[in-house]
Amino acid sequence: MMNLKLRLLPLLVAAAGCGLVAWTALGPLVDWPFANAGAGADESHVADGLSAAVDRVNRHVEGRWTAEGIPPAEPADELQVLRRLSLALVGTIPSLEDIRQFEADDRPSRLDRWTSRMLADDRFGEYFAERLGVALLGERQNEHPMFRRERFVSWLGGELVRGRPFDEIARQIIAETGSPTSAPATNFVTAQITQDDQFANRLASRTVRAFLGQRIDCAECHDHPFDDWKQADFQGLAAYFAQARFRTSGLEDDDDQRLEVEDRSTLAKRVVEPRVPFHDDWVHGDKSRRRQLADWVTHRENRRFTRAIANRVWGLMFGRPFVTPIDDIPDPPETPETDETAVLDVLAADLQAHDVDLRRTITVIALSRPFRLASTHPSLTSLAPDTSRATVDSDSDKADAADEPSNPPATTWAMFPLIQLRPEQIFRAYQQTASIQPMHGTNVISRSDRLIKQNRFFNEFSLIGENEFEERFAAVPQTVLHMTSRATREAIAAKPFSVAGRIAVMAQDDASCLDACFLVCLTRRPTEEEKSHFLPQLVRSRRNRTRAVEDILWSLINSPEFLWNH
Amino acid sequence: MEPLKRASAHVDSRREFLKLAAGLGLSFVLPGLESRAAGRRGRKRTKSMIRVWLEGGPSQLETWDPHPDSPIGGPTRAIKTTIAGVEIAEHFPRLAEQMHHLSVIRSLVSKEGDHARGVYFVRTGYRPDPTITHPSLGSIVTRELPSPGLEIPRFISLGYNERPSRGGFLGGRFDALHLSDPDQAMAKLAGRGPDERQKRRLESLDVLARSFARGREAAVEATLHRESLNAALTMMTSEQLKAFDVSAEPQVVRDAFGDSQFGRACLIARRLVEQGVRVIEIALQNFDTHENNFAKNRELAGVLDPGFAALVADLAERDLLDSTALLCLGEFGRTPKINAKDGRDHWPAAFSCLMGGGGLTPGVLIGATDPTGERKEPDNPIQLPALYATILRTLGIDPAHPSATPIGRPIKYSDGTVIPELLA
Repeated sequence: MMNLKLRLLPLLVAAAGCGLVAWTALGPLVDWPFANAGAGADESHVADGLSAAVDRVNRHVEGRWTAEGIPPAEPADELQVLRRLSLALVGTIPSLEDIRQFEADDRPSRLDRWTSRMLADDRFGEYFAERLGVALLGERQNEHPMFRRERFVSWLGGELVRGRPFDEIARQIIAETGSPTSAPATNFVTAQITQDDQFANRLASRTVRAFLGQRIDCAECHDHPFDDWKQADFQGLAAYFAQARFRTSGLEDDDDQRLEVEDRSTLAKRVVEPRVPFHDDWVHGDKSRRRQLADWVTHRENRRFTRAIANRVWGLMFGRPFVTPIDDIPDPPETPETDETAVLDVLAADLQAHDVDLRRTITVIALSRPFRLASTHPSLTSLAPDTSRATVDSDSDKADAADEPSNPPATTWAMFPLIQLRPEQIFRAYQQTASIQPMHGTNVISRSDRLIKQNRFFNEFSLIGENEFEERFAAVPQTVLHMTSRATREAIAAKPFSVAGRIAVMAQDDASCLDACFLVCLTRRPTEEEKSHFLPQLVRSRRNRTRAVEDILWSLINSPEFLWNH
Repeated sequence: MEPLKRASAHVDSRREFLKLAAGLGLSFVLPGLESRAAGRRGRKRTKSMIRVWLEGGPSQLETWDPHPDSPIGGPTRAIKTTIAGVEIAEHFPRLAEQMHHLSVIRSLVSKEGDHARGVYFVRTGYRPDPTITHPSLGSIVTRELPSPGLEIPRFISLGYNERPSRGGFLGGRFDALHLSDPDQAMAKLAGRGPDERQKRRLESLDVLARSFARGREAAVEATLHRESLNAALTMMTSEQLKAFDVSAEPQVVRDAFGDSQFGRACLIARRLVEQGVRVIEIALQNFDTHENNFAKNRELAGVLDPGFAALVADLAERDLLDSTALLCLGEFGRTPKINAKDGRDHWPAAFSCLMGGGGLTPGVLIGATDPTGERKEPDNPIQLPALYATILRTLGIDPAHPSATPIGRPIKYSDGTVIPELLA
């Protein structure tokens, strides 16, 4: 990262010097926000042989477009890709300052450079860890006082930013002992063990879902109706967690503990020994049970592990995992890259070959063709009358199944999908809207202030459910909240240091004022049609310009373009 | 209630607002306040449904199927009810007085003993299927039963609910409006009236929405952004939001429902039915009693009994019961065997529910479980799809109605056949 910083420094000076005039009116440049983490780590592997991996991903998706006769969308505008990248990696929209610097960077492949810049941003670790934390820790409710979600998330974020191998991270999460405060990885087990004595079952199911991308939950009570998981597999895995004990000093393992289950028909109790459902040659004794399980889950040859994290990273970048549901991935094919999950095989093998550093997978995806396609597509331009429903449903006044998105270009990645932002992103985007500079939460006070506000926002938003990749539609209460909430008011309020305030006071003319509003909220400039709608509002309101700017910002942040990643 | 005042204050400018709505292409939200559902009573009314959801898997033995003095019964006693020969757990004295309005099934069967899968099955009547997401029963009813003049959502879920009811393949517009804290519903839903400034903002929003739709019309349409916005604007200033304000009820009525969030939600549910809301789900948590089953159930019954009993009595008194189908159940039952921690574990093999109203035959008892706990299968087992076919039928909906699905396979609303005992 140091290298990159040095290389870009002259550019920064140039940008500041040549200065897009309209911009400089809005305030001086501050220093680079990046390179405050990860310094010194060897990350040559992140860029090693990158284009070969990207080509391989592209070949598989392009093959599918050809096979299904779906033409890909046009390439997306670069600012739009910057917005996507920012939402995917740091969880918020680009600041006005980011945009200014990006536009001043006129060398080729600037998006590639900005990808690595964001991966070194402290906000990347913080946001990515928060999203991964949902799958690992469960939702936010009824939490035991000893449980430390924030500690876990901030620890995980730090590990991600410095490129620690994800298999190591996973092993620590599964097997760590100690206090939830000083050994934050223990919170994965702590979250469950502090609830009741069914924790081993829940941990088995969560481990398989989160780390292997599969579901064995139903095997808790009976053999899986669709897949190969048997009840005995489930119980055997649960037994690996049965020795975990939670004491005031923290989490430990007690060799004397056993998992006892009750036969549902005879009601007889029996002790279950730990057992993995396949490849017991990956397990080695003479360690704690949890460490044995951790070795098995993350074994180099356990392709489920790398395929699962690749699918999750894809999901975090596009808003929709490559395979849906995210934790119901089919078993890996005998020969990799031979079925419709081939892209996962490519990413999984590539990740394993590059120090299991998630930044590698993120970079490959960010450079891939699907990530750079427009979110418009010729097949979406007409609202065709629905033919499929006419055959079975003649009631024309009812909306039907088929008008929900069964959208082939999006499901084959021939366009960038339109996905509603997650509340974590909306909250951060609102915050960013209020500031010209990128919002960093590095100091303790601003960080805890943000957490308090964010919790309040989630609470109002009824943020519930772990199924974070289930696609949602606009819902009435959330729409009301967008229009009326405190977070919205704070985002657009014209205060001396807020965007609204500074734009209103400092923009040189109406046109640059409007440009700034659009860039701050939508990362683009207004169209001619939009100019002809909005400019008269500014002209009319010379005497109360801040009010007019607030109104424009209100409309922008309530627009579908703001609320849906595109 | 501040938000209420705010909402009412703007009703004067309602006409202007509706003009604006029409301008934005919102013709379908234009309400006719006169056709308020509350005006009609008895059987002539369009039907509604209330599903009381006992989250976690309620113990049949501590609710509607007690077996006192048996190896499986534990300390729970039984009391007589207003249905001759039908006893329920002693914790429900008020409900016992209302039982003649209801019927009991003690032989529901399921194969889903996991919470997530069990909830899915009991919400939809279909077992989880990786290729498709089925709609909740409430979403089907919402889709089939119109509600002219209604300005608030037709399907409302009250109380914290880990897995709110969704429209599944019928689409997001049939999701429940989920209000995890019904006491705060007014504050959360009432909003700013249509003054000049708001009007200007909305016009701008319309310009932005149109330019964003260009080149992705179908995808933007599917987000339901415009539809939700229209619905939200209509709702935010609607008089009908007053249905959430139980302080308008006489103290004696409020007392009858009990001083709990659940009790107030039951009262709100009746008020919503009066407004013409088609489906209301009321969730009560914490029935997952792996430990300390008996004390926990006694406590839960202290909330459930007054709230649900008052709801039944109140609907009957107001001549709304014939038009309102009631159903009370959870995702599965609990083991006959009492575990070492004085708890009961998951038991989908035979569990109970209450239902009534909406034209269902009252006073019926279906099925029985083995008091020794040795025989797992109940007498006269009832499949959940059969129960839902019965409820759909009584609401005037054809259970065999085929719906197109995104995977091109038509699926019936319910795969079961009507239970004759429950439909005259």
